[in-house]
Amino acid sequence: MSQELKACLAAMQAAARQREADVAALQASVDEVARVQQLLARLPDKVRHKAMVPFGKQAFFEGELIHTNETLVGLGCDLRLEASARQAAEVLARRHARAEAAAAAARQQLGELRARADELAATLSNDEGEDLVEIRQEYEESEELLAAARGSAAAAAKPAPTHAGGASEGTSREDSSGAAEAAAAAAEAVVAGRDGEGSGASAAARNGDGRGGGEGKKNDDDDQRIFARLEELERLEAEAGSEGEDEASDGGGGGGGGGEDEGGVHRGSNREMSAAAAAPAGAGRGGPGEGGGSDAGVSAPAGAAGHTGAASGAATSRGPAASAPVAAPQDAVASTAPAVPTAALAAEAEGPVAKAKPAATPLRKGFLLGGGGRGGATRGTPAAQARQPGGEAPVAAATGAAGGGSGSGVGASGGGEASSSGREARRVSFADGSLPGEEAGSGAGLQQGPGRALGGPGRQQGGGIRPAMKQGSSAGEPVGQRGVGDRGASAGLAGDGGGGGGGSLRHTAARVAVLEDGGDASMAMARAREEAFTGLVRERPVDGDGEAAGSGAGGVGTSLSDATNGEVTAAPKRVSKFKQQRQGAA
Amino acid sequence: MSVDHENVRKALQKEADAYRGHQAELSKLATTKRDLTARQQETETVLEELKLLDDEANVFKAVGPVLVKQDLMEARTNVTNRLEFIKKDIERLDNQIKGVESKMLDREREIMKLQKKLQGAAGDPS
Repeated sequence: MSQELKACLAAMQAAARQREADVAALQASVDEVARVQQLLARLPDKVRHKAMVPFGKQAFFEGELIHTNETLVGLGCDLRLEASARQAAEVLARRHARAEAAAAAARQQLGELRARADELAATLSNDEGEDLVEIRQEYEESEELLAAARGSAAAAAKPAPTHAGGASEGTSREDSSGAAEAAAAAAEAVVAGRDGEGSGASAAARNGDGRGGGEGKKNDDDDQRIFARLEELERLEAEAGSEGEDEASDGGGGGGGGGEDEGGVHRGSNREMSAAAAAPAGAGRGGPGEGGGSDAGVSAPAGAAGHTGAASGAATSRGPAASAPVAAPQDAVASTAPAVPTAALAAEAEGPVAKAKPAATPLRKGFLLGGGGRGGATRGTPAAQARQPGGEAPVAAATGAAGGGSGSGVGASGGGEASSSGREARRVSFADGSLPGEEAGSGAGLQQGPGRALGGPGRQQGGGIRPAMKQGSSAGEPVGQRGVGDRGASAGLAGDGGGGGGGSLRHTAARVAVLEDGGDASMAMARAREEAFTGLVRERPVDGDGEAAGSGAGGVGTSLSDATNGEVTAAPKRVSKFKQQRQGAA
Repeated sequence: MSVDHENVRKALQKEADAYRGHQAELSKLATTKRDLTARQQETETVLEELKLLDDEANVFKAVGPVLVKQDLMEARTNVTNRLEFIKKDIERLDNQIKGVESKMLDREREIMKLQKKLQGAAGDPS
């Protein structure tokens, strides 16, 4: 894409140069007319003027100018006019005026052209002067996922709501196990619908043992799924945008589906969130399918519940929307559950869900954190975590909305944040997880996320994040994705924490995830997702995260930071990562 | 699915070629129009100047290296006719351009449709 832009810029510059030449030519003719006018003015001074008369190409002879008052003025169209010097001067004056007008018009056009070219050149590099990186994800899988997710979401929404809703609702974030299973079931269903990812099954499996901690093995699969999901979610989010809202409000289960929708709706708000949401949405969808997974289950219900709650609450804020959708999908998935738990915590977290898009990941984290109790419980199960991140991660990974995952996780934590600012905060908080206990408040806290450093560009509110899927932000995404896995875990953990300090939740969630999995593939994915989700720039210092994690609710954060460290460098480019993932998965 | 794909691709290719052909045509027409417009402006200028002259002025027509005296009225009439012709030419050219543009639009639409189909096929094979 940047090639195209560059080509366009080159063309504009070429046009500008051409116009410049035109201006020069016109100016030359204006000058010529002026010279002749001056001469004409002097001619009547004398009866005869001595002059060196040109003779041929290279000769002159001395001569005189006589009858200087008689001139033949060329009028154009092969017509000459016999006129006196004064009349000629009048004609020339008119000619001069016309030439001046033409030159001025050409100069103005040149100025416009130049301005446009400069604008384009400026847009080619971001504010910070870095090169804009166009983030493109290949659609194939995502689209499919999206479609599947949609369908599954819808289906899942129905059944999922029942499952997830039941599961999530029942478990209501609180009940990880129940929810997890339910979610798992739902996730299964969803998953089946979606990609048929094994994730669903694996999710379920994960749920089963995920909780227990059989995650490790699934992580790889989950990761892939997560990535696929993430991408899917992203897509979904983008598309769902508004739909998610409704669904999200439906409830946890619906939240899953709705989450997506909401995410979709909110998506608009947060691009990142959308990514995250997409991921979560995808994840949510897939999540429900797979989300059932341990934490997911818990988180899903919680997340979903919270998610929806938040989602509804978040309706207003994009962030929430984003997060909600993100959260929803994630939660819905149960993987997003973290969001749910956080949602529960944050209730508003859903709002942040919007922001959660990106917050979705935070939701997860928050989820984990928020779930505190739950999170802890869920966290305990590495599988759960893996699920979370895995669920989310796969979803997130799938959707590439790693950010979403993380976002959701974060969102979960940020759940309280709901507000659009939460969105931003989401990202930030994620870094630090130092967010105040409340999600909403965590906005500020979020911002602190030093570690997470949502990256300036990425951090920007959805808009910034979105367009800024610059290297940095995208990195965040991939990171998030990776982190998704982690995140999932952490999210789950966080979710448990229940939106405790959204930001911190997020952070801790992430951390927790890290801790839990300690580098599980799913963890990594969750982490990546989280990072991406929260718009954290990859470069965020791992240490910071670790620290933030510490502060996180679960205090598990530290592990997250560790996890993220690995991840940080892992995903240079989200796209590539995804592609790899996909290819790997494929 | 892939067969459809192929067909769609071929159709897309054809449309793209047609589109490009139209574009070339359009650029030629645009050049012609530019020239005509320049001539029209020049002729208008001449007419303006001629109108400003009083009847005694001598106007010469340049035929090769020879300047032939021309009646002012005659000159005015000639220039006016020339201007009319040019205007008519420009009008005709405009119509032509519009036709080509509309054809291009159609092609564009076709191309978009085909592209969507292609994407759809690509996206939904599974």
